[in-house]
Amino acid sequence: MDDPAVWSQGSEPDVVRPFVMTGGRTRSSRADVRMETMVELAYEAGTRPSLPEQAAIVEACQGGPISVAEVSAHTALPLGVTTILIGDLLDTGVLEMHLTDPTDIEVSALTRMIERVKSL
Amino acid sequence: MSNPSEPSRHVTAVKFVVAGGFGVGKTTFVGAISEIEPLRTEAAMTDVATGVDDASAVATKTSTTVAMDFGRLTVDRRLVMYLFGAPGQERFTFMWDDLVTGALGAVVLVDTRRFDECFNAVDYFERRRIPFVIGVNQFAGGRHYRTADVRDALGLAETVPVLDCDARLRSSCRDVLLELLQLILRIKTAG
Repeated sequence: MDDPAVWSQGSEPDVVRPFVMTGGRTRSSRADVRMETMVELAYEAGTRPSLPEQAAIVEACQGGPISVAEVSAHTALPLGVTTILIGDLLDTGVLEMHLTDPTDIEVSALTRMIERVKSL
Repeated sequence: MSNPSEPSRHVTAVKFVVAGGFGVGKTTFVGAISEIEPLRTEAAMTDVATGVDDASAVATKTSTTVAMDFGRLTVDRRLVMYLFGAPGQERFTFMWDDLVTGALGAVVLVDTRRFDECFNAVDYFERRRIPFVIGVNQFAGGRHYRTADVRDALGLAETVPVLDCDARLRSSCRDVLLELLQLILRIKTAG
C-alpha cells in the first residue's frame, strides 16, 4: 500500500475514490463525531452540499435523527468517509448533532434500557 | 427535520460492543436484539495491512475494508441503543479504538473450543475499563464448561458476570445484555 505505483495503476478504484471525496483526509477533524452519534438536518440548513456523496447523506437524514453508522450503511459510503463528510456538513450548518456524553448517562436512562430489553 | 413549532428533542444514543472470535455468533447476537435487520458498514483500512489473512492464508496488501454489522434498539423517542459487532481478526484491532470510544459496555462471546480467540477482547476491555460480561457459547459436541471454569480459564475478576449464551436464542441474548446493563447500573450507582 505504500507503493505509489500500486495506486497509479488504478487497480483499487473503490479504495482510492472514497478518500478523494474527503480531499485526502482519512480522519475527521472532529473527535466528537462517533459512529453512534445522532445527526439530524438543521432546521435552517445553510449551504447546499455540492458533492453527490454529501447529497446522499442529506437524503439519508430526511427521516429524522439517525446515527452516523446508519447513514454509512444506507449510503454505502465507508464509515470513515461518512464520518468526515458528516463533520463537514456539521461545520457548514447543514446538519446538527445530538451530543451524548457516555460518561454521564443517567440512572433513569439505564433503567429505561433495562425495561426495554426485558420486554424482548 | 426539526419541527419549528416544537423544540428539538434531544436523542441520546448509546453504544454497546459485541466481541469474540470468528463464528462465535456476534452478528446473530446483534440480530437477536436489534429491531431492524442488522446493517453493515464498511470501515476502510487506511493503514497498511500487514501479515497474513487467516481466511485465505495469503499475504495481503490490498485488503482494504472490514465489514461491521450493527443493530438498533429504540428505547423511547429520546433514547436509542446501538449494538456493534466487533471485527474479530487480530489485524483489525487498530480500529477498536474508534469502535470502543464512547461505548457503555461490551459483551464478549466465548467459543469453548477456542478460548484464546477472546483473550484480546478481554484484555482490551479490562485495560480500557469498559464494563463487560462474558457469554459462553457451549458448542454441541464440545466439552461442557461450567461458568466458574470459564472464569478461571480467562482469569476474570469476580465482578465480571459470566453466563451461558446461545446466540441463536433471543431470550439468551436478552439475558446477557440485561446482565451487562445491570452491571453498568451497579457501577454507576456505586460510583
